[in-house]
Amino acid sequence: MLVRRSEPPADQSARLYVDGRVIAARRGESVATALLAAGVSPIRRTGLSGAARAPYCLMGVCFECLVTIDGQANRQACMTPVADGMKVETGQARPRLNGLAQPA
Amino acid sequence: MTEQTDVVVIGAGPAGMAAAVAAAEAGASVVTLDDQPAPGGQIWRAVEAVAARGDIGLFGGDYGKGLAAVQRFRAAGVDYRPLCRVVGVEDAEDDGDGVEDPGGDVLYLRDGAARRLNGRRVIIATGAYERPTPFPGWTLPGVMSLGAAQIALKTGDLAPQAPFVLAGQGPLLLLLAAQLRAAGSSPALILRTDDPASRRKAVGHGARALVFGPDYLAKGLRWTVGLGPAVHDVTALKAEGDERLEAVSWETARGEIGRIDAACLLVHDGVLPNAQLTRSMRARHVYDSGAAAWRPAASLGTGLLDSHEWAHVAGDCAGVAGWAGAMAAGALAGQAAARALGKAAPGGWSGWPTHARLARARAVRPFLDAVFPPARAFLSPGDDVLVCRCEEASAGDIRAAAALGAQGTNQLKAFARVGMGPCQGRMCASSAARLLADAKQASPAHVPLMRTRMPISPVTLSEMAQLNQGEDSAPLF
Amino acid sequence: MESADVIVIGGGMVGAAIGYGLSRSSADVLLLDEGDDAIRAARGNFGLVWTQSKGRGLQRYQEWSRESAALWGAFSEEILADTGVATAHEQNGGLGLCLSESEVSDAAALIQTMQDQAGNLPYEAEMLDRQALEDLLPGVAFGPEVIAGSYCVHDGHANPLKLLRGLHAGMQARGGRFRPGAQAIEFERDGDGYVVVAADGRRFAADKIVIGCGHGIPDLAAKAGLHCPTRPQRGQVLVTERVEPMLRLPLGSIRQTDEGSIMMGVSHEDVGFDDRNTGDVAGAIAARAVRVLPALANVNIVRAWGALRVMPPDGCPIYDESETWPGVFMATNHSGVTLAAVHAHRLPEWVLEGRTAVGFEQFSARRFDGTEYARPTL
Repeated sequence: MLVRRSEPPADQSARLYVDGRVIAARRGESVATALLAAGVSPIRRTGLSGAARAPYCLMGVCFECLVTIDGQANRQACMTPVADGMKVETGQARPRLNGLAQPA
Repeated sequence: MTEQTDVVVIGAGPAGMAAAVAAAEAGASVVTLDDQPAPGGQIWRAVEAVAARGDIGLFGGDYGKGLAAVQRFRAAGVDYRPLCRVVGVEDAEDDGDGVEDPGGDVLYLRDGAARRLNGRRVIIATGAYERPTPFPGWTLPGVMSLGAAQIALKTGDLAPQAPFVLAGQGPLLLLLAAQLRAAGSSPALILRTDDPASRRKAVGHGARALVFGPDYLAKGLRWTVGLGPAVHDVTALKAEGDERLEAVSWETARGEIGRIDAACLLVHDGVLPNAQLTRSMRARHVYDSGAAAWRPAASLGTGLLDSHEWAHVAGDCAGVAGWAGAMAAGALAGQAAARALGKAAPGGWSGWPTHARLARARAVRPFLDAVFPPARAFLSPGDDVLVCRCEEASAGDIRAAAALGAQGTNQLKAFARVGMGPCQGRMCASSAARLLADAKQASPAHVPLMRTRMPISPVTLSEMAQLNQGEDSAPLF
Repeated sequence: MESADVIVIGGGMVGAAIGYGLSRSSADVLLLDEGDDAIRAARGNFGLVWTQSKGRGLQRYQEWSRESAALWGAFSEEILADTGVATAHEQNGGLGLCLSESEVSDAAALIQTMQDQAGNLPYEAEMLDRQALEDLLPGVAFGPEVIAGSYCVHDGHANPLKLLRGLHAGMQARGGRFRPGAQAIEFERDGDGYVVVAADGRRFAADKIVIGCGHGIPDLAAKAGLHCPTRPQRGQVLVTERVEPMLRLPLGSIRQTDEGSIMMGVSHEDVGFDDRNTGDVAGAIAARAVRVLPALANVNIVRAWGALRVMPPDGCPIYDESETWPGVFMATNHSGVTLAAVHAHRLPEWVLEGRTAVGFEQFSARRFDGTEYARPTL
């Protein structure tokens, strides 16, 4: 969908762990653009029909870019700046409550 | 004890920065809450980072002005708080200490907690966002708004994957096409949804626009030249693909049809004021039929809301007028807020040039609104087109609810779940209201947008629990 | 001019249930409803089918609630059969949890009072200690402060929006007519019957009228000689995103909907007709919910609302027929979901034939005579 015009220099890079694999990101960008640049699609599936969805507005209005970030479910990837070592999980419609409602 | 300040400004785009600077220079204590990591709003998004990597030239002259604005804002002594998401504004809690001018309490999220900040004056500068465009396949991965591509280019140095298609109308469509071309990315096709009949009708407004906004029109002419293959007078659009976009097809007013492979489709049909916050405050809103948009009712000269004596609006969230109008309106609101608190800028009040700048910016709007009314391609989606993306409710579901007696958008929530998802109507309210208006054969002015409420964005339970000040919550229950 | 055997005024939980019940009889029903910006207490319903706390001071109300709860299952099946709408009704018991010793003693005292009041009649609520709570809901990790709870086997919940939609669809499926955008403002006598005049000038004729329009009743019913001393009482609710099924029983102030969201409440505030929701109450509700179910800490609240209960002075329903305008009735209460079954099944025979069960007259507003809520004397 979107492609990098250039790779960021090393001091402008960050590493994210997305569904278990490492992707490169540019410091200052959001998790959403990092996922798009890495070709991750879909970002999530809808709760009702399981339809594939991906970011639409990149500015916090459409709520399509919902992913789990560092264990917190349904966060807007476009409103979250990347941080080195961040763990991102895509495709979850409902937050896991660590099994049968055990506290986190 | 609730944190207090003289003026809380919500937003750090052109209007928010101008308001904060004006109030601070008048001697008020100012806190700016910005949900972005750096100032600039949307039009000047990431301007400092883009300048640092040497790409300012890609984005045209208007963007470069943003760097100066951000630098002035950072130097003005404002308490600037990035990554703070405002979720509600309410009447100040009555501490019972007889404080005059208690103003309003802004509820916002920061670092995993919801917080309350009292401002004797609150200036809301939440900007605008793109008008939603329901059409078949618009929810497919690969279909994005035009603004999203701009944001991706500025913040991530990303360009749309070839082959890509632009569809829509308006100044921003032409601007982005020019910016992408400068960045080495050209669209395979531009599908123009503007209506030649609108252009002809707009001649009357054009004369006024020429006097007050010649630079706008000149920009428009420049951008149109040499943009690449285009199809004009598109009246229907479709995004095709299984789990992601694969092709785009269209139809024109003359009945011509076409189809093109595409990896990315960028759509634009004008912008709407972002009034989620003012609607959640129960501020009075009026329907601007020229702009086909609801905006908060407020004083032109100060931005003071009709309905709240301590809250102002400024910039595109009060009615789309572009960045120059936003800066002027922000300055006027900041000065008015400071004046109301007994503060004044050294050297006295210099409102006249700002009023004039605002007037000039507003003067060109009727022309633009007349040339670019909402595109026919998205006005009357087919029954199986999704209108509420969050809850997957279709245009057909809305028409059925209207037939069952849903009188307005609030009842539509109960009948068809439209507006019940996390976006709280941002992506669906305007389309849903139009469909209800059509069903009632009424003007959209008679179908107000559904109520929004605090929190206007999701908040976790543990974040919300931080607002609990009472030790014993049991008496409530 | 449109006419019917019975006009029901108010398309909320009470009016729609009565309208549906009347449509199941041989009566021809016309239901009048206001516009999109009406207060609509029904929109704010929490969804409980609840008996354990009902009727302290008026045993008849406890019995009325129990009667409705007993009918609810069949009532829900009728709606499904008539309309295809499933109300998501479950009635496997309900809990009120206690987070402190003083909450425990208050809950135990209420149970004792209700048992004494019931005398020989059954009142089946009991206190469960922590261990019993865990046995009842294995796999639900209660917070450490949850000491005990009051449990009633007859309690449960349903989806209030689906119920409302089912009632409307059911009434119309059985020939009842629905007229939205018709705000009733006046009554006229017309021979043996009446005419209802709407704000937009429309007129509707009927032999009988049931005024069931919630907050609109006091002013409107007074025009037909009826006294309705209800007042608004605000309750605020938070709703989360959908989560995996985790709570099979409603907890009184926390329940998981059939769609997976968790609803939490519920405040009781005297603020007039102000249905805004506020940060401090949202914070208090969230704080308590996290104390009850710590696993919810990182779940997102996606919306919240405030709604205005229609609250009679003693919390018990008011049902009356006008003495000066015979054939004009009023029905009001704050527990529209719990009582929906009896509203549909028992009130129609009251309206059409004057048939009621023993003790029904205790719900009249005459019970307030001699108190500060009595009918004002001119």
